[in-house]
Amino acid sequence: MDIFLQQIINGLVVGGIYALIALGYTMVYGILQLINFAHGEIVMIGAMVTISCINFLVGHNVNLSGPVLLTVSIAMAIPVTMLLGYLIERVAYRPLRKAPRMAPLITAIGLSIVLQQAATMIWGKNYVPFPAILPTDVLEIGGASITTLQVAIIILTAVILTGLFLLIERTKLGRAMRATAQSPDVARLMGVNVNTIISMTFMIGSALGAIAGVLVAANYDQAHAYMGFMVGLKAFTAAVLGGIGNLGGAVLGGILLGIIESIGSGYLGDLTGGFLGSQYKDIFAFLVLILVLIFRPSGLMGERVAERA
Amino acid sequence: MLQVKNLEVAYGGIHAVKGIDLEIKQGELVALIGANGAGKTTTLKTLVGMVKPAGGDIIFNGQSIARMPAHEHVGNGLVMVPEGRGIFSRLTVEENLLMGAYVRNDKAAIKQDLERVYTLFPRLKERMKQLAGTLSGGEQQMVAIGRALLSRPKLLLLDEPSMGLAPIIVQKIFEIIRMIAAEGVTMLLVEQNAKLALQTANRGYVMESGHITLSDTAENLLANTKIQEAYLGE
Repeated sequence: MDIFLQQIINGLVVGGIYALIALGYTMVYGILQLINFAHGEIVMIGAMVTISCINFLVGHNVNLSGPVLLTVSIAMAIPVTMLLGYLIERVAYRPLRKAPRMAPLITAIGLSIVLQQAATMIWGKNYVPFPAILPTDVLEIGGASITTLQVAIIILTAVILTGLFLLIERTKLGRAMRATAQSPDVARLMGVNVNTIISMTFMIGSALGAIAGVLVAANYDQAHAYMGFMVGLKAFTAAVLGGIGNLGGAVLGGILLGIIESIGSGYLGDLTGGFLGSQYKDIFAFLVLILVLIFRPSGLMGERVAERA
Repeated sequence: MLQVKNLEVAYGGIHAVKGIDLEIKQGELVALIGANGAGKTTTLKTLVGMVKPAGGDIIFNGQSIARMPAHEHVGNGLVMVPEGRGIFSRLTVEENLLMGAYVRNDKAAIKQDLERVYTLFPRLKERMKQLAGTLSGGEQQMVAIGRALLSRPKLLLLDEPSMGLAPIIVQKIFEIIRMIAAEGVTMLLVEQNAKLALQTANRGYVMESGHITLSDTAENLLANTKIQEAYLGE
Protein backbone atom coordinates (compact mmCIF):
# COMPACT_ATOMS: atom_id res chain seq x y z
CA MET A 1 0.00 0.00 0.00
CA ASP A 2 2.71 2.47 0.89
CA ILE A 3 4.50 1.96 -2.42
CA PHE A 4 1.25 2.50 -4.26
CA LEU A 5 0.46 5.69 -2.34
CA GLN A 6 4.02 6.82 -2.89
CA GLN A 7 3.68 6.38 -6.63
CA ILE A 8 0.37 8.28 -6.64
CA ILE A 9 2.04 11.18 -4.88
CA ASN A 10 5.01 11.16 -7.24
CA GLY A 11 2.64 10.86 -10.17
CA LEU A 12 0.58 13.81 -9.00
CA VAL A 13 3.68 15.99 -8.72
CA VAL A 14 4.98 15.11 -12.17
CA GLY A 15 1.48 15.05 -13.66
CA GLY A 16 0.74 18.57 -12.47
CA ILE A 17 3.90 19.75 -14.19
CA TYR A 18 2.96 17.91 -17.40
CA ALA A 19 -0.43 19.59 -17.20
CA LEU A 20 1.16 23.06 -17.07
CA ILE A 21 3.22 22.29 -20.17
CA ALA A 22 0.41 20.48 -21.98
CA LEU A 23 -1.71 23.62 -21.63
CA GLY A 24 0.86 25.51 -23.68
CA TYR A 25 0.58 22.98 -26.48
CA THR A 26 -3.15 22.74 -26.38
CA MET A 27 -3.87 26.49 -26.24
CA VAL A 28 -1.74 27.12 -29.32
CA TYR A 29 -3.24 24.12 -31.10
CA GLY A 30 -6.74 25.32 -30.24
CA ILE A 31 -6.19 28.60 -32.06
CA LEU A 32 -3.74 27.74 -34.85
CA GLN A 33 -4.06 23.95 -35.25
CA LEU A 34 -0.30 23.98 -34.91
CA ILE A 35 1.83 21.77 -32.69
CA ASN A 36 4.42 24.17 -31.36
CA PHE A 37 7.24 21.70 -30.89
CA ALA A 38 9.50 24.51 -29.68
CA HIS A 39 7.39 24.70 -26.51
CA GLY A 40 9.60 22.10 -24.78
CA GLU A 41 12.57 24.40 -25.33
CA ILE A 42 10.66 27.28 -23.75
CA VAL A 43 10.27 25.06 -20.69
CA MET A 44 14.01 24.35 -20.70
CA ILE A 45 14.96 28.00 -21.10
CA GLY A 46 12.60 28.93 -18.25
CA ALA A 47 14.48 26.48 -16.02
CA MET A 48 17.91 27.62 -17.19
CA VAL A 49 17.25 31.34 -16.80
CA THR A 50 15.84 30.76 -13.33
CA ILE A 51 18.88 28.74 -12.26
CA SER A 52 21.22 31.39 -13.67
CA CYS A 53 19.32 34.07 -11.77
CA ILE A 54 19.52 32.15 -8.51
CA ASN A 55 23.25 31.56 -8.99
CA PHE A 56 23.78 35.20 -9.82
CA LEU A 57 21.90 36.38 -6.75
CA VAL A 58 23.63 33.88 -4.48
CA GLY A 59 26.99 34.77 -6.03
CA HIS A 60 26.38 38.41 -5.19
CA ASN A 61 25.56 37.56 -1.60
CA VAL A 62 21.95 38.59 -1.81
CA ASN A 63 20.60 37.55 1.53
CA LEU A 64 17.19 36.06 0.86
CA SER A 65 15.57 32.84 1.99
CA GLY A 66 15.41 30.00 -0.54
CA PRO A 67 11.75 30.26 -1.54
CA VAL A 68 11.99 34.05 -1.93
CA LEU A 69 15.13 33.69 -4.01
CA LEU A 70 13.34 31.16 -6.19
CA THR A 71 10.26 33.36 -6.57
CA VAL A 72 12.35 36.37 -7.56
CA SER A 73 14.27 34.28 -10.09
CA ILE A 74 11.13 32.79 -11.64
CA ALA A 75 9.75 36.30 -11.88
CA MET A 76 12.83 37.17 -13.94
CA ALA A 77 12.54 34.07 -16.14
CA ILE A 78 8.85 34.46 -16.98
CA PRO A 79 9.23 37.68 -19.00
CA VAL A 80 12.18 36.12 -20.85
CA THR A 81 10.14 33.11 -21.97
CA MET A 82 7.11 35.27 -22.72
CA LEU A 83 9.20 37.44 -25.00
CA LEU A 84 10.70 34.35 -26.60
CA GLY A 85 7.25 32.82 -27.13
CA TYR A 86 6.05 36.07 -28.68
CA LEU A 87 9.07 36.24 -30.99
CA ILE A 88 8.75 32.61 -32.05
CA GLU A 89 5.18 33.18 -33.19
CA ARG A 90 5.89 36.56 -34.74
CA VAL A 91 9.05 35.60 -36.61
CA ALA A 92 8.66 31.91 -37.38
CA TYR A 93 4.96 31.04 -37.48
CA ARG A 94 3.08 34.15 -38.55
CA PRO A 95 4.68 34.38 -42.02
CA LEU A 96 3.56 30.77 -42.53
CA ARG A 97 -0.03 31.30 -41.35
CA LYS A 98 -1.43 30.55 -44.80
CA ALA A 99 1.17 27.96 -45.83
CA PRO A 100 0.37 24.23 -45.94
CA ARG A 101 0.35 22.73 -42.45
CA MET A 102 3.57 20.81 -42.97
CA ALA A 103 5.57 24.04 -43.28
CA PRO A 104 4.96 25.42 -39.78
CA LEU A 105 5.35 21.92 -38.34
CA ILE A 106 8.83 21.54 -39.82
CA THR A 107 9.63 25.10 -38.77
CA ALA A 108 8.63 24.16 -35.22
CA ILE A 109 11.03 21.23 -35.20
CA GLY A 110 13.77 23.40 -36.69
CA LEU A 111 13.18 26.10 -34.08
CA SER A 112 13.37 23.52 -31.36
CA ILE A 113 16.83 22.43 -32.56
CA VAL A 114 18.01 26.04 -32.87
CA LEU A 115 16.91 26.80 -29.30
CA GLN A 116 18.57 23.63 -27.97
CA GLN A 117 21.84 24.52 -29.64
CA ALA A 118 21.64 28.10 -28.46
CA ALA A 119 21.13 26.78 -24.93
CA THR A 120 24.21 24.55 -25.14
CA MET A 121 26.20 27.61 -26.20
CA ILE A 122 25.02 29.58 -23.17
CA TRP A 123 24.75 26.91 -20.48
CA GLY A 124 27.01 24.16 -21.85
CA LYS A 125 26.24 20.55 -22.64
CA ASN A 126 26.51 19.24 -19.09
CA TYR A 127 23.85 18.93 -16.45
CA VAL A 128 23.30 22.17 -14.60
CA PRO A 129 22.60 21.42 -10.94
CA PHE A 130 19.62 23.10 -9.32
CA PRO A 131 21.02 25.24 -6.49
CA ALA A 132 20.38 23.72 -3.06
CA ILE A 133 18.39 26.62 -1.68
CA LEU A 134 15.13 24.91 -0.84
CA PRO A 135 14.30 23.16 2.42
CA THR A 136 14.49 19.39 2.14
CA ASP A 137 12.11 18.38 4.92
CA VAL A 138 10.19 15.17 4.40
CA LEU A 139 6.67 14.59 5.64
CA GLU A 140 5.16 11.17 6.28
CA ILE A 141 1.60 10.34 5.25
CA GLY A 142 0.20 6.84 5.54
CA GLY A 143 3.53 5.14 5.02
CA ALA A 144 4.49 7.30 2.04
CA SER A 145 6.83 10.23 2.18
CA ILE A 146 6.47 13.59 0.50
CA THR A 147 8.99 16.41 0.50
CA THR A 148 7.97 19.98 1.24
CA LEU A 149 9.09 20.77 -2.30
CA GLN A 150 6.59 18.26 -3.67
CA VAL A 151 3.85 19.73 -1.51
CA ALA A 152 4.77 23.17 -2.81
CA ILE A 153 4.72 21.93 -6.41
CA ILE A 154 1.25 20.44 -6.02
CA ILE A 155 -0.14 23.56 -4.36
CA LEU A 156 1.50 25.91 -6.86
CA THR A 157 0.27 23.87 -9.80
CA ALA A 158 -3.27 23.86 -8.43
CA VAL A 159 -3.21 27.62 -7.88
CA ILE A 160 -1.89 28.33 -11.38
CA LEU A 161 -4.38 26.00 -13.04
CA THR A 162 -7.25 27.64 -11.16
CA GLY A 163 -5.98 31.06 -12.15
CA LEU A 164 -5.72 30.07 -15.78
CA PHE A 165 -9.23 28.65 -15.83
CA LEU A 166 -10.62 31.80 -14.28
CA LEU A 167 -8.80 33.81 -16.93
CA ILE A 168 -10.14 31.69 -19.77
CA GLU A 169 -13.69 31.23 -18.47
CA ARG A 170 -14.41 34.46 -16.65
CA THR A 171 -12.59 37.32 -18.37
CA LYS A 172 -13.18 39.18 -21.58
CA LEU A 173 -9.73 38.19 -22.81
CA GLY A 174 -10.49 34.53 -22.15
CA ARG A 175 -13.82 34.79 -23.95
CA ALA A 176 -12.09 36.34 -26.94
CA MET A 177 -9.48 33.57 -26.87
CA ARG A 178 -12.17 30.89 -26.92
CA ALA A 179 -14.10 32.70 -29.65
CA THR A 180 -10.95 33.05 -31.75
CA ALA A 181 -10.15 29.37 -31.31
CA GLN A 182 -13.57 28.47 -32.70
CA SER A 183 -13.82 30.93 -35.53
CA PRO A 184 -11.12 33.54 -36.13
CA ASP A 185 -13.06 35.16 -38.98
CA VAL A 186 -16.18 35.76 -36.92
CA ALA A 187 -14.10 36.89 -33.93
CA ARG A 188 -12.55 39.49 -36.24
CA LEU A 189 -16.03 40.72 -37.14
CA MET A 190 -16.66 41.28 -33.42
CA GLY A 191 -13.61 43.55 -33.32
CA VAL A 192 -11.13 41.03 -31.96
CA ASN A 193 -7.60 41.61 -33.19
CA VAL A 194 -6.80 37.98 -33.84
CA ASN A 195 -3.05 38.54 -34.07
CA THR A 196 -3.02 40.07 -30.61
CA ILE A 197 -4.96 37.10 -29.24
CA ILE A 198 -2.52 34.68 -30.83
CA SER A 199 0.44 36.57 -29.35
CA MET A 200 -1.22 36.56 -25.94
CA THR A 201 -1.80 32.83 -26.22
CA PHE A 202 1.86 32.16 -26.94
CA MET A 203 2.92 34.43 -24.08
CA ILE A 204 0.57 32.86 -21.53
CA GLY A 205 1.66 29.36 -22.60
CA SER A 206 5.30 30.39 -22.31
CA ALA A 207 4.80 31.81 -18.83
CA LEU A 208 3.25 28.51 -17.72
CA GLY A 209 6.11 26.71 -19.47
CA ALA A 210 8.73 28.69 -17.56
CA ILE A 211 7.14 27.82 -14.23
CA ALA A 212 6.85 24.18 -15.25
CA GLY A 213 10.51 24.14 -16.30
CA VAL A 214 11.61 25.40 -12.91
CA LEU A 215 9.46 22.81 -11.17
CA VAL A 216 10.96 20.02 -13.29
CA ALA A 217 14.47 21.23 -12.53
CA ALA A 218 13.71 21.58 -8.81
CA ASN A 219 12.05 18.17 -8.66
CA TYR A 220 14.99 16.39 -10.34
CA ASP A 221 17.66 18.72 -8.87
CA GLN A 222 19.05 19.49 -12.32
CA ALA A 223 18.44 21.01 -15.73
CA HIS A 224 19.88 20.30 -19.12
CA ALA A 225 19.89 21.95 -22.54
CA TYR A 226 18.10 18.93 -23.98
CA MET A 227 15.59 18.45 -21.16
CA GLY A 228 12.88 20.20 -23.16
CA PHE A 229 12.70 17.43 -25.70
CA MET A 230 11.54 14.62 -23.43
CA VAL A 231 9.40 16.68 -21.12
CA GLY A 232 7.87 18.43 -24.13
CA LEU A 233 7.07 15.14 -25.81
CA LYS A 234 5.45 13.81 -22.65
CA ALA A 235 3.36 16.94 -22.22
CA PHE A 236 2.37 16.70 -25.86
CA THR A 237 1.29 13.11 -25.15
CA ALA A 238 -0.72 14.38 -22.19
CA ALA A 239 -2.42 16.97 -24.41
CA VAL A 240 -3.31 14.30 -26.97
CA LEU A 241 -4.52 11.96 -24.23
CA GLY A 242 -6.86 14.64 -22.91
CA GLY A 243 -7.96 15.74 -26.37
CA ILE A 244 -5.77 18.32 -28.03
CA GLY A 245 -7.28 21.79 -28.07
CA ASN A 246 -9.23 21.10 -24.89
CA LEU A 247 -7.86 22.86 -21.79
CA GLY A 248 -9.56 20.63 -19.23
CA GLY A 249 -8.32 17.68 -21.24
CA ALA A 250 -4.73 18.90 -21.01
CA VAL A 251 -4.94 18.99 -17.23
CA LEU A 252 -6.64 15.61 -16.99
CA GLY A 253 -4.20 14.11 -19.51
CA GLY A 254 -1.20 15.55 -17.67
CA ILE A 255 -2.21 14.23 -14.28
CA LEU A 256 -3.25 10.84 -15.66
CA LEU A 257 -0.02 10.47 -17.58
CA GLY A 258 2.03 11.42 -14.51
CA ILE A 259 0.24 8.81 -12.42
CA ILE A 260 0.38 6.10 -15.10
CA GLU A 261 4.06 6.71 -15.60
CA SER A 262 4.79 6.75 -11.91
CA ILE A 263 2.83 3.62 -11.06
CA GLY A 264 4.15 1.87 -14.14
CA SER A 265 7.76 2.60 -13.33
CA GLY A 266 7.21 1.61 -9.70
CA TYR A 267 6.07 -1.86 -10.69
CA LEU A 268 8.03 -2.30 -13.90
CA GLY A 269 10.77 -4.23 -12.18
CA ASP A 270 8.29 -6.68 -10.62
CA LEU A 271 6.30 -6.98 -13.84
CA THR A 272 9.29 -7.97 -15.93
CA GLY A 273 10.98 -10.06 -13.26
CA GLY A 274 13.71 -7.49 -12.81
CA PHE A 275 14.53 -7.42 -16.53
CA LEU A 276 13.47 -3.77 -16.95
CA GLY A 277 14.06 -1.26 -14.16
CA SER A 278 12.30 2.03 -13.42
CA GLN A 279 14.72 3.84 -15.75
CA TYR A 280 12.47 2.58 -18.53
CA LYS A 281 9.53 4.64 -17.25
CA ASP A 282 9.40 6.62 -20.50
CA ILE A 283 7.92 3.55 -22.17
CA PHE A 284 4.59 4.27 -20.52
CA ALA A 285 4.13 7.75 -21.91
CA PHE A 286 4.64 6.55 -25.45
CA LEU A 287 2.61 3.42 -24.93
CA VAL A 288 -0.21 5.70 -23.86
CA LEU A 289 0.32 7.90 -26.91
CA ILE A 290 0.15 4.91 -29.25
CA LEU A 291 -2.94 3.48 -27.56
CA VAL A 292 -4.75 6.80 -27.64
CA LEU A 293 -3.94 7.34 -31.29
CA ILE A 294 -5.25 3.89 -32.13
CA PHE A 295 -8.37 3.72 -29.98
CA ARG A 296 -9.44 7.28 -29.28
CA PRO A 297 -7.61 9.77 -31.50
CA SER A 298 -9.84 12.62 -30.33
CA GLY A 299 -8.64 12.09 -26.74
CA LEU A 300 -10.58 11.60 -23.53
CA MET A 301 -12.27 15.00 -23.65
CA GLY A 302 -12.18 15.52 -27.41
CA GLU A 303 -14.82 17.52 -29.24
CA ARG A 304 -18.31 16.34 -28.50
CA VAL A 305 -20.55 19.39 -28.87
CA ALA A 306 -22.34 19.40 -32.21
CA GLU A 307 -20.92 21.96 -34.61
CA ARG A 308 -23.99 23.25 -36.33
CA ALA A 309 -22.94 26.83 -36.93
CA MET B 1 -23.97 57.03 -44.97
CA LEU B 2 -22.32 54.43 -47.23
CA GLN B 3 -21.08 54.96 -50.75
CA VAL B 4 -19.51 52.18 -52.77
CA LYS B 5 -17.76 53.46 -55.86
CA ASN B 6 -16.76 51.25 -58.76
CA LEU B 7 -15.84 48.43 -56.37
CA GLU B 8 -13.96 45.50 -57.83
CA VAL B 9 -13.10 42.32 -55.98
CA ALA B 10 -11.11 39.35 -57.18
CA TYR B 11 -10.17 36.50 -54.94
CA GLY B 12 -9.35 32.87 -55.29
CA GLY B 13 -8.89 33.45 -59.02
CA ILE B 14 -12.49 34.65 -59.45
CA HIS B 15 -13.39 38.17 -60.48
CA ALA B 16 -16.47 38.17 -58.27
CA VAL B 17 -17.39 41.85 -58.20
CA LYS B 18 -16.84 43.86 -61.37
CA GLY B 19 -17.14 47.54 -60.59
CA ILE B 20 -20.34 48.18 -58.64
CA ASP B 21 -21.82 51.36 -57.17
CA LEU B 22 -24.08 51.32 -54.14
CA GLU B 23 -25.43 53.98 -51.87
CA ILE B 24 -27.20 53.70 -48.56
CA LYS B 25 -28.66 56.67 -46.73
CA GLN B 26 -29.23 57.07 -43.02
CA GLY B 27 -32.32 55.16 -41.87
CA GLU B 28 -32.81 53.14 -45.05
CA LEU B 29 -33.31 49.41 -45.34
CA VAL B 30 -31.75 48.40 -48.63
CA ALA B 31 -31.98 44.93 -50.15
CA LEU B 32 -29.32 43.41 -52.37
CA ILE B 33 -30.81 40.53 -54.28
CA GLY B 34 -29.51 38.17 -56.92
CA ALA B 35 -28.86 34.56 -57.78
CA ASN B 36 -26.36 32.28 -56.11
CA GLY B 37 -22.82 33.32 -57.05
CA ALA B 38 -23.78 36.78 -58.23
CA GLY B 39 -21.24 38.33 -55.83
CA LYS B 40 -23.55 39.48 -53.04
CA THR B 41 -21.70 37.83 -50.17
CA THR B 42 -18.34 38.88 -51.58
CA THR B 43 -19.60 42.47 -51.66
CA LEU B 44 -20.58 42.32 -47.98
CA LYS B 45 -17.31 40.68 -46.99
CA THR B 46 -15.42 43.43 -48.75
CA LEU B 47 -17.41 46.11 -46.93
CA VAL B 48 -16.24 44.77 -43.55
CA GLY B 49 -12.64 44.15 -44.59
CA MET B 50 -12.71 40.35 -44.71
CA VAL B 51 -11.78 40.53 -48.38
CA LYS B 52 -9.58 43.25 -49.83
CA PRO B 53 -10.93 45.10 -52.85
CA ALA B 54 -9.00 45.03 -56.13
CA GLY B 55 -10.24 48.46 -57.11
CA GLY B 56 -12.69 51.23 -56.34
CA ASP B 57 -13.52 52.78 -52.98
CA ILE B 58 -15.85 52.43 -50.00
CA ILE B 59 -16.82 55.57 -48.11
CA PHE B 60 -18.52 55.20 -44.74
CA ASN B 61 -19.63 58.40 -43.00
CA GLY B 62 -17.20 60.42 -45.09
CA GLN B 63 -14.18 58.21 -44.49
CA SER B 64 -12.60 55.71 -46.89
CA ILE B 65 -12.70 52.29 -45.26
CA ALA B 66 -11.61 50.16 -48.20
CA ARG B 67 -8.25 49.28 -46.63
CA MET B 68 -9.33 49.06 -43.00
CA PRO B 69 -8.50 45.77 -41.20
CA ALA B 70 -11.55 43.65 -40.43
CA HIS B 71 -11.46 44.07 -36.67
CA GLU B 72 -11.65 47.88 -36.82
CA HIS B 73 -15.02 48.14 -38.55
CA VAL B 74 -17.14 47.25 -35.53
CA GLY B 75 -15.88 50.18 -33.49
CA ASN B 76 -16.77 52.33 -36.47
CA GLY B 77 -20.39 51.16 -36.39
CA LEU B 78 -20.27 48.89 -39.43
CA VAL B 79 -21.47 45.49 -38.26
CA MET B 80 -22.16 42.29 -40.17
CA VAL B 81 -24.23 39.22 -39.38
CA PRO B 82 -22.36 36.69 -41.49
CA GLU B 83 -23.82 34.09 -43.77
CA GLY B 84 -24.51 30.86 -41.88
CA ARG B 85 -24.85 32.97 -38.69
CA GLY B 86 -21.28 32.41 -37.48
CA ILE B 87 -22.16 31.82 -33.88
CA PHE B 88 -19.57 30.46 -31.46
CA SER B 89 -21.07 27.05 -30.81
CA ARG B 90 -18.99 26.25 -27.73
CA LEU B 91 -19.67 29.56 -26.03
CA THR B 92 -22.91 30.06 -24.13
CA VAL B 93 -25.69 32.18 -25.58
CA GLU B 94 -24.83 35.02 -23.23
CA GLU B 95 -21.12 34.79 -24.04
CA ASN B 96 -21.95 34.97 -27.73
CA LEU B 97 -24.02 38.08 -27.16
CA LEU B 98 -21.26 39.65 -25.07
CA MET B 99 -18.77 39.04 -27.90
CA GLY B 100 -20.85 41.60 -29.81
CA ALA B 101 -19.89 44.15 -27.18
CA TYR B 102 -16.20 43.21 -27.36
CA VAL B 103 -14.98 46.66 -28.40
CA ARG B 104 -17.21 48.50 -25.93
CA ASN B 105 -16.20 49.43 -22.40
CA ASP B 106 -19.41 51.04 -21.14
CA LYS B 107 -20.44 48.24 -18.78
CA ALA B 108 -23.74 49.73 -17.65
CA ALA B 109 -24.90 50.38 -21.21
CA ILE B 110 -23.84 46.90 -22.30
CA LYS B 111 -26.00 45.46 -19.53
CA GLN B 112 -28.94 47.55 -20.73
CA ASP B 113 -28.45 46.49 -24.33
CA LEU B 114 -28.26 42.87 -23.23
CA GLU B 115 -31.60 43.24 -21.46
CA ARG B 116 -33.03 44.84 -24.57
CA VAL B 117 -31.92 41.87 -26.68
CA TYR B 118 -33.50 39.53 -24.15
CA THR B 119 -36.75 41.49 -24.40
CA LEU B 120 -36.57 41.21 -28.17
CA PHE B 121 -35.78 37.49 -27.98
CA PRO B 122 -37.27 36.05 -24.77
CA ARG B 123 -36.21 32.63 -26.05
CA LEU B 124 -32.57 33.61 -25.66
CA LYS B 125 -33.07 34.69 -22.07
CA GLU B 126 -34.37 31.22 -21.22
CA ARG B 127 -31.29 29.70 -22.81
CA MET B 128 -28.64 32.21 -21.83
CA LYS B 129 -26.45 29.62 -20.05
CA GLN B 130 -26.80 27.00 -22.78
CA LEU B 131 -24.05 26.37 -25.34
CA ALA B 132 -25.05 28.15 -28.53
CA GLY B 133 -24.25 25.03 -30.58
CA THR B 134 -27.20 23.24 -28.97
CA LEU B 135 -29.74 25.78 -30.22
CA SER B 136 -31.99 25.38 -33.27
CA GLY B 137 -31.14 27.23 -36.47
CA GLY B 138 -33.71 29.94 -35.83
CA GLU B 139 -32.48 30.49 -32.29
CA GLN B 140 -28.91 30.68 -33.58
CA GLN B 141 -29.97 33.37 -36.03
CA MET B 142 -31.51 35.25 -33.08
CA VAL B 143 -28.16 34.98 -31.29
CA ALA B 144 -26.35 36.28 -34.36
CA ILE B 145 -28.70 39.25 -34.72
CA GLY B 146 -28.75 39.96 -30.98
CA ARG B 147 -24.98 39.85 -30.92
CA ALA B 148 -24.82 42.37 -33.76
CA LEU B 149 -27.20 44.67 -31.86
CA LEU B 150 -24.83 44.61 -28.90
CA SER B 151 -22.23 46.16 -31.21
CA ARG B 152 -24.55 49.20 -31.50
CA PRO B 153 -24.47 49.23 -35.29
CA LYS B 154 -24.85 52.41 -37.31
CA LEU B 155 -25.10 50.27 -40.43
CA LEU B 156 -26.06 46.61 -40.07
CA LEU B 157 -25.23 44.18 -42.87
CA LEU B 158 -27.30 41.00 -42.89
CA ASP B 159 -26.11 38.14 -45.08
CA GLU B 160 -28.85 35.64 -45.94
CA PRO B 161 -30.72 35.73 -42.61
CA SER B 162 -33.31 33.28 -43.97
CA MET B 163 -30.80 30.65 -45.04
CA GLY B 164 -31.61 27.12 -43.89
CA LEU B 165 -34.59 28.17 -41.76
CA ALA B 166 -38.17 26.91 -41.83
CA PRO B 167 -40.64 29.38 -43.41
CA ILE B 168 -42.38 30.15 -40.13
CA ILE B 169 -39.03 30.97 -38.50
CA VAL B 170 -38.08 33.11 -41.49
CA GLN B 171 -41.24 35.16 -40.96
CA LYS B 172 -40.24 35.69 -37.34
CA ILE B 173 -36.70 36.74 -38.22
CA PHE B 174 -38.02 39.25 -40.76
CA GLU B 175 -40.44 40.64 -38.17
CA ILE B 176 -37.43 41.30 -35.98
CA ILE B 177 -35.60 42.91 -38.91
CA ARG B 178 -38.52 45.28 -39.40
CA MET B 179 -38.53 46.10 -35.70
CA ILE B 180 -34.84 46.89 -35.76
CA ALA B 181 -35.33 49.06 -38.83
CA ALA B 182 -38.16 50.86 -37.07
CA GLU B 183 -35.75 51.70 -34.26
CA GLY B 184 -33.69 53.62 -36.80
CA VAL B 185 -30.86 51.18 -37.57
CA THR B 186 -29.75 51.50 -41.20
CA MET B 187 -29.51 48.12 -42.89
CA LEU B 188 -28.23 46.38 -45.98
CA LEU B 189 -29.96 43.06 -46.45
CA VAL B 190 -28.55 40.41 -48.75
CA GLU B 191 -31.11 37.74 -49.60
CA GLN B 192 -31.88 34.99 -52.02
CA ASN B 193 -35.49 35.17 -50.90
CA ALA B 194 -36.02 38.23 -53.11
CA LYS B 195 -39.73 38.60 -52.50
CA LEU B 196 -39.46 38.74 -48.75
CA ALA B 197 -36.42 41.03 -48.96
CA LEU B 198 -38.15 43.50 -51.25
CA GLN B 199 -41.34 43.42 -49.17
CA THR B 200 -39.22 44.42 -46.19
CA ALA B 201 -36.87 46.97 -47.78
CA ASN B 202 -37.28 50.57 -48.95
CA ARG B 203 -34.99 50.17 -51.93
CA GLY B 204 -33.27 47.35 -53.74
CA TYR B 205 -30.32 46.54 -55.94
CA VAL B 206 -30.21 43.55 -58.26
CA MET B 207 -26.86 41.90 -58.77
CA GLU B 208 -26.00 39.57 -61.65
CA SER B 209 -22.59 37.96 -62.17
CA GLY B 210 -20.62 40.73 -60.51
CA HIS B 211 -22.61 43.71 -61.85
CA ILE B 212 -25.46 45.78 -60.46
CA THR B 213 -28.05 45.49 -63.21
CA LEU B 214 -30.97 47.29 -61.64
CA SER B 215 -31.66 49.65 -58.77
CA ASP B 216 -35.00 51.05 -57.80
CA THR B 217 -37.49 51.41 -54.98
CA ALA B 218 -38.57 48.10 -53.54
CA GLU B 219 -42.13 48.68 -54.76
CA ASN B 220 -41.04 49.23 -58.35
CA LEU B 221 -38.79 46.19 -58.27
CA LEU B 222 -41.63 44.04 -56.98
CA ALA B 223 -43.79 45.33 -59.84
CA ASN B 224 -41.07 44.82 -62.47
CA THR B 225 -42.02 41.90 -64.73
CA LYS B 226 -38.41 40.95 -65.45
CA ILE B 227 -37.69 40.73 -61.74
CA GLN B 228 -40.88 38.79 -61.18
CA GLU B 229 -39.84 36.22 -63.75
CA ALA B 230 -36.22 35.94 -62.69
CA TYR B 231 -36.40 36.19 -58.90
CA LEU B 232 -39.94 36.13 -57.62
CA GLY B 233 -41.04 32.90 -59.23
CA GLU B 234 -44.19 34.36 -60.77
